[in-house]
Parts: sequence; C-alpha cells; structure tokens
Amino acid sequence: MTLTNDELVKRLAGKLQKSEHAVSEELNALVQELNDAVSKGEEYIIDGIGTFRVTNGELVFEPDAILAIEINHKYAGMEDIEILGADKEGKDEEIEPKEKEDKSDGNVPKDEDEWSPIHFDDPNISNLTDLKDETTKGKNGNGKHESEIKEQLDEVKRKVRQLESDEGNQNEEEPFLEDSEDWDDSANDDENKIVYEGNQEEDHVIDEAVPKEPVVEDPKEEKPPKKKKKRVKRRSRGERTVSGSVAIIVGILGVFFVVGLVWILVTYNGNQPNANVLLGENATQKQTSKSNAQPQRQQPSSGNNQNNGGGLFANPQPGSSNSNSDNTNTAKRSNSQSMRMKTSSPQTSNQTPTTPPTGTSSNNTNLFGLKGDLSPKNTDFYTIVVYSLTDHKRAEEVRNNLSSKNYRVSLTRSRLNNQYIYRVGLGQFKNTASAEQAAKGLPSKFRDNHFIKHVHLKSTNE
Amino acid sequence: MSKKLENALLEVIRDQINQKNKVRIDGLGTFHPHHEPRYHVQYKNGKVVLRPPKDSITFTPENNKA
Repeated sequence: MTLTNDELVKRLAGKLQKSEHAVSEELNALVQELNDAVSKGEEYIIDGIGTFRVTNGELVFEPDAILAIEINHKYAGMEDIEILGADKEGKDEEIEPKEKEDKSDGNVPKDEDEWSPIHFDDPNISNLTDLKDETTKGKNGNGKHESEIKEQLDEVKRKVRQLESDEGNQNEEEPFLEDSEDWDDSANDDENKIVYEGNQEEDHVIDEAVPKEPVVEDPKEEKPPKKKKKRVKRRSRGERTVSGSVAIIVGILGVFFVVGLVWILVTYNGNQPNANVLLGENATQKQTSKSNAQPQRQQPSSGNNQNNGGGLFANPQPGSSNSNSDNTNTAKRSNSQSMRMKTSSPQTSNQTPTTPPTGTSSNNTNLFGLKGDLSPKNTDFYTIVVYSLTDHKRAEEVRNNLSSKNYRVSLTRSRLNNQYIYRVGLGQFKNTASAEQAAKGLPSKFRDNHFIKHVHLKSTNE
Repeated sequence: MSKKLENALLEVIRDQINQKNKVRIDGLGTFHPHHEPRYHVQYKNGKVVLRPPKDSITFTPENNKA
C-alpha cells in the first residue's frame, strides 16, 4: 500500500490541526527548498528523517540513525551468529561481499540471490548443509559467486593432487600407512591437522614401534622388500599386543600372589595364641566365639608359644604382696567397672578340671585350676581373660578383687600401638577345652564375655 | 519550514514504513520499507556466520534527478 501525497497531506493536517491547503503549501515549500538545496550540491537535512544529497546525478536519501533503529526495532541488537568456525588463519573476509546497493522496490525481493549469496527464507533450506546447493543456484543467479566457488574448487583439487603426489612418495617410504584404514589423503595438510590428529597420533605410535631407519631408505627402492617391511611392522604391532596382554596377565597373577601371601600371613598371625591384640569388651566376645569354634585345640609346645608382648608381672607367686601397695592408690574407676566388681561374686566352679587350689604345691595336679593360688611352676597354660584394660592400676585392682574371691588370677601385659594392654585372666588350664568348660561355671558376666588366651610365662630364672 | 511540520512528517513516514506502506511525496519521491532476510555469509577463512534480518527505509527519487 502506498500513501499518496493527498493522503499524506490529510494526515499531516490532522496532526498539525491545520487545513489541508495550508499543509499542502507548507509541504510543497519544503520540497522546493530541498530540491533547490540539492541542486546546488548541498545536503538537505530534515531533522529526524534523514539527509538528502545528490550523488552521481541521483538524489540519495540517508535515513537518520534514530529513524533507522526505530524502523528496525524488531531486529535491533541482533548480531551475527557463527555457524562454523574458521579453519584457516586470516581475517573475516567474505568470499562474496554483500551488495549494499538497494535495488528493491520496497517489498521483500523476489530473487534474493541478487543481494544475498545464500538466503534462508525458503523453508526448504533450513540448515547449513544446503550451502553446497548454493553452488548450483549461483549458476543461475550470480555469476561472480559461481566463479569464486569454481576457484575454490580448483584450489581444493590442486591441493588434493599435491597431497596425492606427496602421499605417493610417502607411501613408498611408509607402506604401512597405505594400509591404514584411518589414513586420509589430507593427513599431511597443515590446515587439516586438527581433523586428522588422531591418525597422526597413531602414526606416531607406529613410528615409535618401528625403527625409522628403513623409512629413510631410497623411495625408488623396489616394492617387494617394502612389503616385507610392512609385514614386519604388522608383526611388531601384534607382538606388542601379545606382550601387553602377557604383561597384564602377569601383573594380575602377581597381585593375586601378593594378596594370597598377605592373607596367609594374616591368618597365621591370627592363629597365634599369643598374638598381642587389643581386646575390649566387643573383641572379647569375638574371641570367645573363636575359641568355641576350636575347643579341641591342643596346648602347643612352649617353644612355639613364646609371648613376646605379654608377661606375668603381677602376682607371680602365690601369696605375693606386690600388689598390696597398689591397692592403697585406688585409681578412679567408672561406675560400670565398680558394678562389675560388685556383681562378680565368687562362685565355686564345679567344672574345674584340676585339683582344688592349694598353696605352692609342686604337684602337677596343682598346676591347673580355676581356684586357688597361681602356680608359679606352670609357665605355659591357658587362662580365661575377663578384663582387658589400659589402666594398670585399674587392672591391679581388678586382679586383687578377684584374688580375694579365691580365683587364680593372672595379669599379663601386651603392647599394642605403643600402648600397654593389661589382661586379667582367671585360672590356669591345660587346654582351651578345659578352659571353656571352666568358664561355664563363672558368673554370667564373665561367662558371656570372655576369651581364652594362651599364656607363656618367663621362668623366674630368666 | 516549521518544526512542527517536520515532526509530523517524521511520525507519518515512520508509522507508514513500520506498517510496510510506502509514502509518496509529490515532487520528491517515494519512501518505502525494505526487508533484508537473514542469510549466511562465508568468509575466506572458512568461517560461516548467519546475518540477522533487517528492516530499513529506502528512498526512490521521483525523477531520478536532482
């Protein structure tokens, strides 16, 4: 739709609240003034509208910047969107500069090829892959576009031919590369290095595996030896694969061997009767179940059961008063421990396998038992550990308390993590079975929470 | 020419161009809208960009003479 001069005058009259005649005269005066100015070669500026000037004998209009923005308000601020990054060095110089000259008649141009090398208002063209199709469109549209594309194609072809020739020479030197599935003709093109970087890395590995001396050989060398060299390279690659697999298998076996060895050592140490392990209340239960699972374990020989970390250092002899002085220094003890001592009433065990306790009897029948005095001659026995304490004074106190209840009480010390553990044991038994049997007659507190420990004492002469 | 006439003329031309209408002034020429659709531009360095569309105003003189 075109707004004619009469309609324009009507609208201006409505805005200016003037008659159409008056507005028409003012408008004609404006046009006359403008024509006079431009005819003199001067520019005529209408504020807010733009500038008129004569260029090459033609009246040219340059819109005001603000008006241009207002008209382009829908797309104002939009910038170019980069679809593909540059793959070559250089400035952003268009292959075909866009024609700035406006030849349209005000409508959307029918043939947009005249000013746009690639147009996308066509719904059939939706992505960049259609760029190639523009080469065919250029034949019918812009001849300059077509010529530039041809130049580009020629350049590409020239590069391809050059690369082919280079590749021919290289293949004579590196026949293996010819058989590579990933090998590309343009692998040596510096501009395409990024694209074929992976292949080049692979080639680099091949170069490392194969001595480069044959590669430097004369390219004119006959082909049979080169094929032989290719086979050698293939074997080397296979050998590398096999050797790598063997190395992996050997490594896995080694890991299994080490793990098994560690497991055996741990198991062996765990079965040691005199292992110095910190045993609290929970650990005591575990040890109890363990000892129950192996009730028939026989008493090992004294030579194989040397207790390095533990030793009888309290109440070594019956009637000894070493601990009496310690009793005067009553240490702080928790309420639970106090309750434990109160509830540990002395009960005579009916299951004591040995003779009743007597003083310092040299009879073998007095070597073992739950009650009575500790036999100093029995340096290798099993005992029922009912306390594992870190406080020496507290351990002494517990021992004295139990001794007062006519128990054979042994106090051993073990070192664990730079800390001494004091274990209070009841009775002297020949084997774990007799110890477990005796433990059944202990008060419920000890019966349910104890473990059997093998004790090997150093003789008094040592 | 009065300033009021300039402002009124600007408003009319701007509104008509935004409505995709042409504005003809006798003895001067015709103002008309121009729509430049989006298009791709390929640079020599391989870079391809998408230019946004653009609306603008153009002018065609009446007699092609000053």
